Amino acid sequence: MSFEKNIRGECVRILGAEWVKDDPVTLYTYRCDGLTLYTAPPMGVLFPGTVQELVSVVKLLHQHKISFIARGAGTGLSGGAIPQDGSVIIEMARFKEVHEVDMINRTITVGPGVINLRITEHVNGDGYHYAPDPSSQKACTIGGNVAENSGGPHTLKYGVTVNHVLGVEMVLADGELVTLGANHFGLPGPDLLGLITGSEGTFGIISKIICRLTPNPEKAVTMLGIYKSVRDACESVSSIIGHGIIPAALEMLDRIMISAVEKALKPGFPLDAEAVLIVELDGLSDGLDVEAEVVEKLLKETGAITVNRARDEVERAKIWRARKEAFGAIGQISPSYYVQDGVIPRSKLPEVLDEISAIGKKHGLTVANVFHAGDGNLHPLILYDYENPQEVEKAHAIGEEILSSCIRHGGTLSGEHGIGIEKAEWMSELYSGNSLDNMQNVRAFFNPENLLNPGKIFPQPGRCAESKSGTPPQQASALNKPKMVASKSGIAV
Amino acid sequence: MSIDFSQKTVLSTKELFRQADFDNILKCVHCGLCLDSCPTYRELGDEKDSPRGRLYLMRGLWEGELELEAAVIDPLSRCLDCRACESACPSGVPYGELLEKTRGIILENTQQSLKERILRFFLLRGLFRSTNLLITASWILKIYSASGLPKLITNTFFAKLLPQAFVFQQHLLPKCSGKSFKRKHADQILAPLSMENKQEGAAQIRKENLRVGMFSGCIMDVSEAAIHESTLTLLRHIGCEVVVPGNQSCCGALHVHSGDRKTAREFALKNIAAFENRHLDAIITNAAGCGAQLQEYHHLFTETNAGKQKDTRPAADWKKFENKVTDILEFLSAYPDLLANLPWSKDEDTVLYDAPCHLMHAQKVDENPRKLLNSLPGVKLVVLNESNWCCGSAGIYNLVQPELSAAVLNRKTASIRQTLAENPKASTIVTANPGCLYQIRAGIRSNNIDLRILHPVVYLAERLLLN
Ligand SMILES: Cc1cc2nc3c(=O)[nH]c(=O)nc-3n(C[C@H](O)[C@H](O)[C@H](O)COP(=O)(O)OP(=O)(O)OC[C@H]3O[C@@H](n4cnc5c(N)ncnc54)[C@H](O)[C@@H]3O)c2cc1C
Ligand code: SF4
Ligand code: SF4
Repeated sequence: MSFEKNIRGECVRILGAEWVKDDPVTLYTYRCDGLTLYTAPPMGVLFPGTVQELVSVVKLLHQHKISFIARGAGTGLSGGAIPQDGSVIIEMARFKEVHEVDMINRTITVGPGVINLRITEHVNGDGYHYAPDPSSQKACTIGGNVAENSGGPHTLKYGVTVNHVLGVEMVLADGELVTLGANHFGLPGPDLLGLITGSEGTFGIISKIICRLTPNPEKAVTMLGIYKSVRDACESVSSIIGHGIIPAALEMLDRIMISAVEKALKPGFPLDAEAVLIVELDGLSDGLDVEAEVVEKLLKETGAITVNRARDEVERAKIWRARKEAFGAIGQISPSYYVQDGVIPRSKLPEVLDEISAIGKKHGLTVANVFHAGDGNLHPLILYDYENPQEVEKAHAIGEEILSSCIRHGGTLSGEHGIGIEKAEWMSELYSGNSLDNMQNVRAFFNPENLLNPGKIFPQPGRCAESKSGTPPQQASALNKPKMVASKSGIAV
Repeated sequence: MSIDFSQKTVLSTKELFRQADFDNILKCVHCGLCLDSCPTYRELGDEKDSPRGRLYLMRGLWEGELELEAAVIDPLSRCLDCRACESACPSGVPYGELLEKTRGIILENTQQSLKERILRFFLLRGLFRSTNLLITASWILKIYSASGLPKLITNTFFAKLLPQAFVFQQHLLPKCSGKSFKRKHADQILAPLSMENKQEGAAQIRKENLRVGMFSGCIMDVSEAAIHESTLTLLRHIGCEVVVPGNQSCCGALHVHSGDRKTAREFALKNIAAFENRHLDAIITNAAGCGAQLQEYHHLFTETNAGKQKDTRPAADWKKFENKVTDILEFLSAYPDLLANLPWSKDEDTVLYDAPCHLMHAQKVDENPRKLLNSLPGVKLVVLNESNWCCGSAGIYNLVQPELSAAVLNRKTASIRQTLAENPKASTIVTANPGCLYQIRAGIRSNNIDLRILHPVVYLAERLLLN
């Protein structure tokens, strides 16, 4: 598939030939994002460089009823940026401008292609940072973060993306440019900004973002609890929260994950531990050490065999790099992994983790765990060999059983990676048909012809057709999973 | 994907890759954490010009999903092989090795453009093979530089008339000596030089009787003489015996980067023979790119299709050789006491530091050189903003991909300007790789930035108060 001649011509007129690509090799590399279990090539890829160009191409595509989808860095883990129905990809990587830093209002206005970590780097000298810190922060874009309402280790204390975005400029499906919010709090009326954050690119293409800046804490203490059992580590989590302490971050890695990060990044985690718990406290220096001592005591009471403290920034950075790059480090021990993102009530952690390990054993695959323990946001990584079709099937089965288990324990499908195409089918397990219809009606308000990022979030096929106002795009076809999995190069993350 | 199979080969693309010991491609889990570290991705914003995209293409070739056609090869050719992605990757993907093997397969199995063939024939296969030719070329360039013609081209209205790339190349010219360093010192044992103040440390090193070999390279052997001379001076002054084997050759890095593994294997075998059996404790390099290449020679012999050049040496030989190869800065920084006792100038100075890619990302030498320079009396070292960012030199990348190279260099000059604005007292910028030195020098000259650029060893030797 590629652009029809007249469409191509129009795109070239708007963007210049250099920024319109539909050769087979480009399409090949854009056929998947961080989730490679499914692949589907786009019709073409457009690279607008200004808001005006973006508006013009959206208008053009809308006029010809061609579906389209925004893409940031393509680190999404639920297939949000995988084009369905041969949608056109609009690559936002060129929107890298920092428009304004406003220290009085503590805001920064950036283009959606700016990398999350760069925002913090930009203002760090002034003693500020951008709080949501997804583990992919050194690569993912702020536009993708808003679309996925991304979280990270430090969202336990500081909240997720939606708590840190004060305004957006957005291009609607028909090319209309709208602005929501400003560099201050408060948006009277329904919280449209909240609605857009986490809409996975189905409500509009974000072209500018006003982010809130957070002052750096005066001091941070990072501790590492080492455990003989995962259960004990879970007890520690409950104990800390039970004592009314809200750490900045509370993260757990199990034995398999420890072995992977030790191979790749050598943070110095003991290889014979069953689990390590990273606890970070931050705030004013006064009192922090006292709090740290309390935490240390609680950790030991609940079964930590040792508790180490990072002595300096270098040690602290090492621990965090190991935590944040843990998914990638899996490449050291397994050719592929498939990560789930279920959320459960914190109190159910020990039970569900036991269940997950049993599910893995039952199918004969290993499941590694690294997750936001404080939020009850699990990230079980199912390790398998993508070249072995049986293992691929097992990985799917394990993923589904894990999700069932999360739902059964009163949890939900996704903490931060989004529903995308990966979990769309699962939405009907979680919500009754009526709720889903209502949600789709909301989407239809923004995206009446379902041209924007079709095939995401809601179950397919036929769902859109059934909903009252959402009509499928011209070339819509049912999402055919088996066909897509068949792609061999799918590295199946 | 359409199949264009006009190549000389009878093996399928998949088979070619299967013979190249390519399984490490599986280590890439497509997470994308490497994206923002890649200069070409930041410049072009296109997935296929990112490390992850390139690995995905290589994987497609390895799996037989893609064929060796121009559209697949082009993004792979646009890679700087700077290996910043390797430092960023949590999964330990040996990107450089995979790319270099891929380029090897491309070169042997596809048609090259005329320009590339000429460049390869005269430069890589001809000039770099022969010390005599290199000396002659060095003479010619020396005379050319002395004639004032390059200055005339860059400084007068000619600069406006002639093609930009040509004018830029005048800035790039190395400072040629017309003499070969290795011939000058060939095979002598250069004794340690004692300094006036005899310290305990110095005695200790002589007790150990440290003997090191110096690698002299190809272009570096006949140009920028100060770099090798300073290296030699420093080594001898901390008490080393130094040997410069006369039968050593070019390291082959430029060849490997452009896919010519055959010539590189020839050089590898020559060099290991030149340095072994000389009872050396270390083999010192002062060009980051050469050092990285020497440390990775064994990669060249893992392919089952290395043909007649299939190595007969045990792997242990290569390991022994490679383990000895040490960058001069890394080597010196292992002897802080000896260095501290040398008579250093105490003059205040601010120096900017640039980390060459092949030192930082390939050799994984990062902190020690900075610590070393910072420990010098009176010296304030300022690490360049985006110091670990490629300068666009990348071997002969600046000659074959001039536009992208210029864009990458612009970013480097911009960060130099910025760092300089924040540190107006800085007089000098140091970088530990000749390719980067030429490139950044050309960048600051063509932008009229008032800085001198030196190899760190030259800077060190300058501050040594020898009488
Ligand atoms: C190793 C690794 C670790 C991760 N850790 C975390 C984590 O800790 N927390 C977390 O929340 N996520 C995590 N993720 C998931 C992912 O990084 C986030 O979802 C991130 O926000 C995606 O950003 P992106 O720029 O890569 O977006 P993409 O993957 O390119 O796109 C994601 C979605 O956003 C939409 N989109 C992108 N840009 C725009 C725009 N300008 N306007 C409208 N829609 C847009 C796309 O259409 C798509 O639906 C991780 C991923 C990896 C690979
Ligand atoms: S090279 Fe490494 S960082 Fe880049 S996508 Fe592959 S695994 Fe991730
Ligand atoms: S080697 Fe450098 S240019 Fe090539 S993919 Fe890696 S980071 Fe990019």
